[in-house]
Amino acid sequence: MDNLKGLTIKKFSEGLRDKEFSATEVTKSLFDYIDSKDKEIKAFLSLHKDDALARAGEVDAALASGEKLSSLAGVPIAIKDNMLIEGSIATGGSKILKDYKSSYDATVIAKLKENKAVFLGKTNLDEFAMGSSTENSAFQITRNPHDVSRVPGGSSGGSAAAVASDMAVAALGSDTGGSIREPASFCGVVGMKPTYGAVSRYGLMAMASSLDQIGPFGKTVEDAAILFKAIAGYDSKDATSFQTDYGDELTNPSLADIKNLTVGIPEEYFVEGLDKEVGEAIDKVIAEIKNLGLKVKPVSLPHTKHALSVYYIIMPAEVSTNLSRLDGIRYGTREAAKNLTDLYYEDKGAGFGPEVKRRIILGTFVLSAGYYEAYYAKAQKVRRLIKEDFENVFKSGVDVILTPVAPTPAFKIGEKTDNPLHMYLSDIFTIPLNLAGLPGISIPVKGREAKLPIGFQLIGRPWREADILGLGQVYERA
Amino acid sequence: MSYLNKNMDLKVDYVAKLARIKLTPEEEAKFSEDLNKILEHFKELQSLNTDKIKPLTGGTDLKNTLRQDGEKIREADGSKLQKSFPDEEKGFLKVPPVFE
Repeated sequence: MDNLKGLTIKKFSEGLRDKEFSATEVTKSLFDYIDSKDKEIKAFLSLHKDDALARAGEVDAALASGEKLSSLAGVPIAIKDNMLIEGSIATGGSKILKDYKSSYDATVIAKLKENKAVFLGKTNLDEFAMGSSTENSAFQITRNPHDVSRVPGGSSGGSAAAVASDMAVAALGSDTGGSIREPASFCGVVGMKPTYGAVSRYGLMAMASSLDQIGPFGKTVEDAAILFKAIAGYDSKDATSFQTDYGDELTNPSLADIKNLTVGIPEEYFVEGLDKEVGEAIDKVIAEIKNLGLKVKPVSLPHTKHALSVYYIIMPAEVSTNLSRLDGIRYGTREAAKNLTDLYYEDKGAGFGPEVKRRIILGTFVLSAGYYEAYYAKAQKVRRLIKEDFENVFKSGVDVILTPVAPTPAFKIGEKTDNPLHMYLSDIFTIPLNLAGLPGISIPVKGREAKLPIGFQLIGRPWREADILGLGQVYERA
Repeated sequence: MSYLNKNMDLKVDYVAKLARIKLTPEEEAKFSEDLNKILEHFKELQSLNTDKIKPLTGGTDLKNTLRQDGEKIREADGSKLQKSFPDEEKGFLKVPPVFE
């Protein structure tokens, strides 16, 4: 099959309906392509060939019997390897879970199964989603399809690279501080972090529970909208999930409504350290959005500069708590140990990689007696100030905020691995949204000649994914 | 016992003990350098007066949406959970002794 290139959910669904191809044909061709292409990219940690072909066959049979199917039926999707699919290995990118077999489906997987989607396999990630380059995976280094000497971004680098190289039609990732949006920007695909609470995290390996969200990757904004709509909604198994009524406006935005939006440009995001090429790309987007007829005005988010410190206190604190369950007792690998205490030391020592250990140590420290007030409690207060910055801007009549996604395009493999603080700075423009619980999307800047893609970020009001997805769809079609 | 040495640097070995993680001497040295740089960066927060600010303790100010308390049969098949045990005997989870 030669039409895998640029195959979107929309095109796939139309092709399936018009009998241009069957779901089985597409799935088979994709696995053939993955077998050769992924030797170079290394996006997948495992492939689910038998299961995928069985599911594709079911879709073809349902179609032949005249059943009405969802637009995701038969769509070949890649899943970040920190989400559980019953009966298959879920490593979280960590040695400690290298043989762990999921005993249940994550809610997002159950929802996609209801839509009859096809799961190609599990994608590479920084260990337990901790990183900005996918170099922290215990298994392999994923390469950027636009330049294999560069990183795909992270932590959802495998999902972003799989979609960017046409090995998957769409993918799921998770985003705690930018782990969907930064790789989307680096790989030239669309990636969205929904509002905190929009998508159930049941069956997602918890990293930092007050920040984590699952979200879609697609080749177009429209595809990201279709996938998001399918996974959103209240789930009694995640107490932070929330029911909202996402209507047709997610996938069919009204041009008139979108033209009425006001877009804010925060001065604090255009600072020293922003790559010149990124700055120019964002200027191009601003000009185009003005041309579309939207109002654009400068805004201020004065506490932006504190977001990195706040994040690197709150996130490790939650990491140190969440990862304490990985102690070799109930699942995962178990090292030889003479007693229980010894087992904890040995198992964590041997099972976790350096970045995970670094964050557990930092988190344990900021939560410890005597330092809690100075670090953790202080960070929680500043977190509120960061959230209030956004609230004030939205109250002033701004509907959508436009910023860069990352300060630079994709960097070289190995460039930042020695200096964690440098690596952490990659997420400086994405972190504030997680702290404030807001939805954000990374969309590739159109019409550039350069080899490496650059994304721009649209930030919406809570539960207003429709605004950022709508503006994104209008931008990509213009 | 203090977590900081007399230079107010983080004592990685002591915190690692609290977290029950075994570190190699190389890791200890590297983390000590990394983490002290990171803690240095955090000092910028002290310039903000936050006396009157209420801490934001979660992702949003929304209340958790809890379901009705009541008996629920676990949907997942127990034997699948047992299969993920690192060590078992007659279907029971086996752990090393607490005391030797």
